[in-house]
Amino acid sequence: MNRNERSAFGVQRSGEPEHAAVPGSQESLVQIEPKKLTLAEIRAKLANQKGKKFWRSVDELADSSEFAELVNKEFPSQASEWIDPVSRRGFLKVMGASMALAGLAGCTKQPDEPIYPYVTAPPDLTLGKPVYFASAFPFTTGAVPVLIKSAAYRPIKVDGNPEHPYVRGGSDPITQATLLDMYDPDRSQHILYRGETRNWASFLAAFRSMLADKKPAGGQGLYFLSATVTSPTLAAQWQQAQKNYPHAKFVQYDPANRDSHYRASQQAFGQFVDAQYRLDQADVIVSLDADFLGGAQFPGFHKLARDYAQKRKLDGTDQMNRLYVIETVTTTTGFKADHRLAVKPSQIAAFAQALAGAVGGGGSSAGNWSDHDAKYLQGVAADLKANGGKCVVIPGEFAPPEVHLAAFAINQALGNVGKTVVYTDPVNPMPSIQCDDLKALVADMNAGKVEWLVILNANPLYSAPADLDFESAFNKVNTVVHLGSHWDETGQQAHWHINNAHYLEMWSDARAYDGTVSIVQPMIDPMYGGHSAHEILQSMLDNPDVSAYDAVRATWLGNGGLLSKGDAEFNWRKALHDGWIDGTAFAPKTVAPKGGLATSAGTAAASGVEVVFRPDAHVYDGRYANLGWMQEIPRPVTNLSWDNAAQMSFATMEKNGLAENDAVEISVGGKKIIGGALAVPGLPDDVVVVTLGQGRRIGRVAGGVGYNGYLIQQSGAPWMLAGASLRKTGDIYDICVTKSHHIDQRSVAHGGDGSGTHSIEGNESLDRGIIRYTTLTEYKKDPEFAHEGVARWTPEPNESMFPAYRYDKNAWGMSIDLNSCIGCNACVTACFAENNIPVVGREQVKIGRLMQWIRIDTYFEGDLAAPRAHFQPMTCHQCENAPCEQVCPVGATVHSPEGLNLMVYNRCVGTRYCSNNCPYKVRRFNFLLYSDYETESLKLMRNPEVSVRSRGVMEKCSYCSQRIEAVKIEADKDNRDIRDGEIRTACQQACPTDAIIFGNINDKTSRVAKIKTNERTYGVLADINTRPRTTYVAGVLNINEPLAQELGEYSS
Amino acid sequence: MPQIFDRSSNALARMSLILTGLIVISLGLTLDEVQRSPWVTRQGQRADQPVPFSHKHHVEGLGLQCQYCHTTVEKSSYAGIPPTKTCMNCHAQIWTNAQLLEPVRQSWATGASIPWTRVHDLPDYVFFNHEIHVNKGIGCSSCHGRVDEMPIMYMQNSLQMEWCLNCHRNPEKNLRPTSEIYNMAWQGASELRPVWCAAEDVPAGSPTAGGVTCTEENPKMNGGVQMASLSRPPTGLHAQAGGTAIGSEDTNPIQLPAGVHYTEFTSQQALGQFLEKHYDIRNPRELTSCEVCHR
Amino acid sequence: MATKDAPVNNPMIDPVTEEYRVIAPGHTFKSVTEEVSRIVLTSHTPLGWWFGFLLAGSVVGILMTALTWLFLKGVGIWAITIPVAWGFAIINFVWWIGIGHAGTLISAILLLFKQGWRNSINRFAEAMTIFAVVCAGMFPLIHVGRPWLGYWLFPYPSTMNYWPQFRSPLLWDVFAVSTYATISVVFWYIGMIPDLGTLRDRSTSKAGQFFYGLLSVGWRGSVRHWVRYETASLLLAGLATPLVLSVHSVISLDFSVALLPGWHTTIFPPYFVAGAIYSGFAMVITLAVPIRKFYHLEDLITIRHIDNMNKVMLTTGLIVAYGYSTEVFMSWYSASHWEYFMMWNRMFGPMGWSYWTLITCNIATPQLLWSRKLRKNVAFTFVMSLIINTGMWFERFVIVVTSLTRDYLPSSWGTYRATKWDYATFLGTLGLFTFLFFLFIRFLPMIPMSELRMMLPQSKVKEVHGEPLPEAGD
Repeated sequence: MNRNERSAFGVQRSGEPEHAAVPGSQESLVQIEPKKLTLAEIRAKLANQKGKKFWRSVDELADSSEFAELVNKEFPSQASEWIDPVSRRGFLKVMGASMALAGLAGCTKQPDEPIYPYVTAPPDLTLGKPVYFASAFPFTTGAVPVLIKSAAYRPIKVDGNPEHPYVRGGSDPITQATLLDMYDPDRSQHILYRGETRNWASFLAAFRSMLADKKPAGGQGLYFLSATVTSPTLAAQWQQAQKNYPHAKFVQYDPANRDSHYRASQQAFGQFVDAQYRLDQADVIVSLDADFLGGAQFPGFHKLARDYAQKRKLDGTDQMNRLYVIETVTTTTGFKADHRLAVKPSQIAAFAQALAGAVGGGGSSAGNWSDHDAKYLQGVAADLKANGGKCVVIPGEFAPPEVHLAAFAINQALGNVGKTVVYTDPVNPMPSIQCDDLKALVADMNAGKVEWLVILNANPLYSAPADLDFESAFNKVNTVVHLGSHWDETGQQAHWHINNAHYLEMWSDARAYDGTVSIVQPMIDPMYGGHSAHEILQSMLDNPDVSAYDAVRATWLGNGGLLSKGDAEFNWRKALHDGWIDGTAFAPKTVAPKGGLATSAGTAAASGVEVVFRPDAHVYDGRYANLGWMQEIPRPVTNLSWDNAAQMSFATMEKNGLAENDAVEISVGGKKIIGGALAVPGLPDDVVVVTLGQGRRIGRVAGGVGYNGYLIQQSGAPWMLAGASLRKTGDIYDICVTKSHHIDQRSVAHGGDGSGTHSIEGNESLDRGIIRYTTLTEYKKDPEFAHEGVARWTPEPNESMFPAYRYDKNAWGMSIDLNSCIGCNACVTACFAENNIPVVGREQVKIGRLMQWIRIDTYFEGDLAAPRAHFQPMTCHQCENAPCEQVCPVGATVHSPEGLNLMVYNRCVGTRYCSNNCPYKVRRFNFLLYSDYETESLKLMRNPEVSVRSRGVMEKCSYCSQRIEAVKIEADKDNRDIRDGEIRTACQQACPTDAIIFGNINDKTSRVAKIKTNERTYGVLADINTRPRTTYVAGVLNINEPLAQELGEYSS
Repeated sequence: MPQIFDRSSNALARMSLILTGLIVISLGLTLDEVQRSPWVTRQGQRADQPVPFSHKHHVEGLGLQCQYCHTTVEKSSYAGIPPTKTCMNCHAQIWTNAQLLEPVRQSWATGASIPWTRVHDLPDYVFFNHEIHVNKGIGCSSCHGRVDEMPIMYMQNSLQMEWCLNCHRNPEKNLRPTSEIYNMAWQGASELRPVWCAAEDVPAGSPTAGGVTCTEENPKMNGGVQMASLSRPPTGLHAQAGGTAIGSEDTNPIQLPAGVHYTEFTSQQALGQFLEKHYDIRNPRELTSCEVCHR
Repeated sequence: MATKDAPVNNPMIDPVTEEYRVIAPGHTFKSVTEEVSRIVLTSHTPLGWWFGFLLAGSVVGILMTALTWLFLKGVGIWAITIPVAWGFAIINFVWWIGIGHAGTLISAILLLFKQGWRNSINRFAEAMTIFAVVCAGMFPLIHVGRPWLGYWLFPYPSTMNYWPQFRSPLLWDVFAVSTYATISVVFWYIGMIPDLGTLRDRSTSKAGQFFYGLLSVGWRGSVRHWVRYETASLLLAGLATPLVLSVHSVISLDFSVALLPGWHTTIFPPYFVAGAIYSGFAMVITLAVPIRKFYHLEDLITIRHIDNMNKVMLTTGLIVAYGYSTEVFMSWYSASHWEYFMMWNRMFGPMGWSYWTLITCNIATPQLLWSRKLRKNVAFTFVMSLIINTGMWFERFVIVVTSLTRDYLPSSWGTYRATKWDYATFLGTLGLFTFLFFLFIRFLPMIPMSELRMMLPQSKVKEVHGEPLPEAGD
């Protein structure tokens, strides 16, 4: 009865996703019944209004849900567009633009602007001056300690906590984007019971009466399904609850879980341990399918990236670490490798064990390797042996457990443990094998044992592996409670939906990967009165009304709590201020792998195509799919935007008679999905890479982007399936990729290499001196390499028609270290957040109108089947002879006395001549009205120090001039010069590897001035005499010479 | 066949030519005037406010200090509009049932803001910053005019770009001793009202007013000087080399040892240039760089 | 030059010079005047005119739609993007301006060179110029992101106390084009005054008399008037001549000044001007041939004109060809990687097709004009003129688009695919052009009667016997 109701209801709901897309549509649906606006009425309403006023009222109108409704009714054709985020906004903008024109006449005068002062002002608030708070972003792989910039108590920027002992200020795209996550207009704003608004009290009532019923049975039939827990307090709360309800069950499941590692850890050590890698101690790093430079998805990313980069900067030393990467999918880590080897997923385990065998870590060096691979294996083994104790082998999170076991063995055998590898308690206070638990849960659900299922921040109906058929199991549960930030696939089916408080809105605590505890403190009152998992678990305890705040304090200030010693209140405040609690980092554990390696060496060379699953670099497992930034910013390596594709090697594509943009059907285990074919350099043949997290059904941004990889995932082997087959459907799926790579077909006579397999962009980038690099040995022989050869000279300052500028005081400059850049996109996301950069949407990106001010150019060198790649962050070079400046007819882009190449948005008429004349093509143009003037929540997020650019205006990087000005004013107030490092650009601040350095090049003692004297420093296209202020430090590869000669890999 | 146009039409033709010329010219001139006229700039217009607040009464009459209400003018870009609380500090006791103050009491009771109408309203793409101006010797009245004589607030200056540039191109025109920032009546130095200033060199990093003392009384003669300087730590001058306590602004110039040499300024130009030097005012080239106001 | 191929008994051949006549024999002042003015003064408008006029009108409708949509949404409705931030708008702009050149050239330069044959075609060549400039002038305004702020390009004392940037070629355009437009209009109008007088006197309707009377500003054809008139035309010719060269040189600087490979070259000014005249004459032929046929003006626009214009096209065509070859040569000779790659990409890159179209239309085919026979073949000439106009459009396409798609930084290479709005706007301007031209041929004398009369033997006879020149229109 009850069940039918809900399922019927469920169908009806999922039938109209656009309601989910219109925030607050729930009660607006109810509200607007009485008053139905018609277009005529609107016209009447607007008729007697002129100019700016007109504009405004339309603005308000356009955002009202009545209007949304209305458009759906009046323009059925547009209604479909309504779901598509961009064209939906586009539709409003057409109105907007027309109004703007209509309003022009009246625009000579400004309209009255009201001021609403406080009634009583908060004591410590200075309007116009930002405040910074330390907190932490709880993430599956461990919390990221953050420093949050808050303007008038609105968080407007999230960055890594620079003082945190573990992270040291770096961040990553996802951490940066959590800001947008909080302001996401699609966030669920109400507690819903069967789609109708309820309040917290009524939920508690229902929940407690249930608890009362179950109390005698010890909570039999009560199940929790939670995302990975990193909060000690939450864990503590559950453990208490467990005491009251011994039979209640708490299951953790995240699609991108750490099962492989934990299985191996169980097998090898008999307990759950985490491995901390000390790359600052390592001279040789071997990655076994580990994308440890890929982003926060890899546990301890920030520290690993920093330590890795530190040992490649070559300042003061001529020693570098050497990185070998053996991987099954192409990753940025692989492209940073000095020697990269692509192996089929089915072979990685065997390779790992062979390697273990070769270095004497037991295990058979079995497997029939191609000559090339065998040589590679021997080379790596030799290098490892030569560096015992100074090397490290890192297994990939998504590689099979055998790989982890092999890694344990190798590190043990080479005496790395305790030196470059340290085993500690797991960051997850309640570690578990999540897939097994989920399977068990589903079994219980099907068995009807589950009466109440409380889902905490998980979305299993979307992300559970297909073979579990979670939905049918789901329908067998009496009552499902869903706590989530969005009214998502699961929320729409659940009986109760509770809107979750974002981490920027709530009290909690979390551990960074090294164990250091941070207190999560709210930056803002929950925008939609959300609630957290703490509250739900707390309500099961004897003191149900204890707030999350008190719960967290209890954990750390309560008796035995770390902060309780000495002046507890002071310690607490210090912890909040610093952003972490001293001495909470895990102590190393001494464990040794017992037993040899599992000799079940993976699957022996499987037939057919192998499908590899990976979480998306930006939208992760799908939870960030509704963030415009994460969708739009091109993924590393593939440059995919607003999409996921069926990634395969060129050969595989040819073999299956496919071309790029062909819709291809991937069928495995009787399940099928269709995606667009995309050739990705460096992939092993007969492999298709499927990135998870797309194909969401809800959200104005996420809805309908890409395909859903979970539909063919299997809980048994979540990361690799063999024996798949590809079929060309005949349709075209126009993939959205921002940078194309054409094959260089030029004959040698025409300046090509005649190979027919290389990328023309790659070849040209080397011929034009855009990318300059060498090997360590070459570098030692010839330090000046970056300035020798064609296109590598720099004209003298006076070689210009125009007199050179004078820079009396400050001269801002930037240096980017190509050796350190790992192409992670943290800088790009930070730039979006800092400079109010609009999201333009798929169609616009596809025709090349992406608005990013800084981008990561990727050039592929050599055969695209196994290329070497070069990352190059590219942003405005603030040329001293700026080509853009002299062609602007209205002087909207001009030179500042400090050498900034200014762009004055409100003076720009939009001739776009500057962009044509910019050799770096870093200028971006508002071809349409891209900035969102409608969505309220997004207005709150904007940086008040930066104008929001309107249609028809050119924009570009300004070295964050707003930050420069702010510091300048502080310095001027007390008559001093600006200190080095006092100004940090957004990209510099976000960079986890400290690759970007900004400062005053007139001050010879500044970091940037010093590094610009380094002989590896060069200016891109400096030979055309633009005199760029941004320079690059040429890359140096640490080649294993003997191996390179063996493989004929690198010829200098 | 008869002509349609008789001879007179020649004259007419010539006339019309001249007229057209005149019309074009006068149209140009009119537009040029209109874009600067109060009709566009709103100069001098009194917006209707919920409460007819009189700066004249509060500043001139009661002698309230500007910062009593505009608290953040020295430490933020935004000078600050007083919260209802500030009004209630006094009006909880006095004029407690004046009809005029009803909106204030309403706001206090309901907790809803008083919806003022902005008088000095810059376009959103202009980033003006109060603190730096106030700290570098630009007084309130330089931009806002004699607020202390305005029963109802209005905009004294056009606040158009050309007006801003006027000062940014030659700051000395409006620079005044930081001690005179809040002095509404300040008229700058002139033959009739000379200004005496003394400067000591202070280590870099000390606040602007640091080294400079100014007075309108001839320090050679008797007569106390009461000056309220801002953003100056109590130990301001005592910190400087030699350590001898040179009279901080509250002390009588008579007590100044002969060490301090006062210069007499009889023109704003001269005074301005003096202050420009000692206040480290950036040069016009930097002050007129676009990013100073547009980002 | 002797014209052997023409039958000797052909009345169109002057037995003395053995050249084609500029005017068929047997014409008198009266007949000439008759020939021309009938077209304007006739009471019943030919159906053909109505048809063409309405057709053109509807195309103008398309233009209006395109512009409305453009102002509503922004230039984003076009295909322009980063890196190709200029597209059809600029191509059309340069193309139209180029076409605009023939008129002034014919009326000014040929006048100075005393090229009598110009007389019968200069009027509508000038009209064509003006309408072309109208179409061209539209684009710089509509192609900017915020057209409503276009007035910022003019130096005026604004409250921002900020002036346009005089280093920018776009600003030079503003002055170059506006000056050119003004001079052309004045020249055209002054030249028309005597004929307007004639029309005034001949027209029978009150409206006609008033209308032309107003326009002819009291022209009486007295000797003083004629003296003034001649001086004025000479002066204007003197003024206009440098403009013919300057306008397109200035416009070419939009490209030359930029440092983009394919733009950054000193050869542009001369070959832009040559190209302009090339396409200009092509357009004159495109217009002349149908009109000549439709209004039976074979007597006034003779094979001689066609032939001469073809010769001009052949010459300018060769200059343009020289320009192209120099570009190719320099890209090799400069030994600059950028130049070399640019040329390779232009020829064999993704957009190579446009380059070869251009070569075919502008260089290969026009070589047929060497043949005297073909030069005198009207139908052929017509087709050739169309081909050349296409070619000249593609020349601008190659310069603007192809150069932009692949410039310095390989990571930012892009492509360009025009949208329906691009085409609509281009088509629309063609419509506007034709629309205006239809109005012109209906209401204004498309052939200068006064100047033709001077070509008649009678006017030469006059010099011998010193008989008084008959008043116009009697």
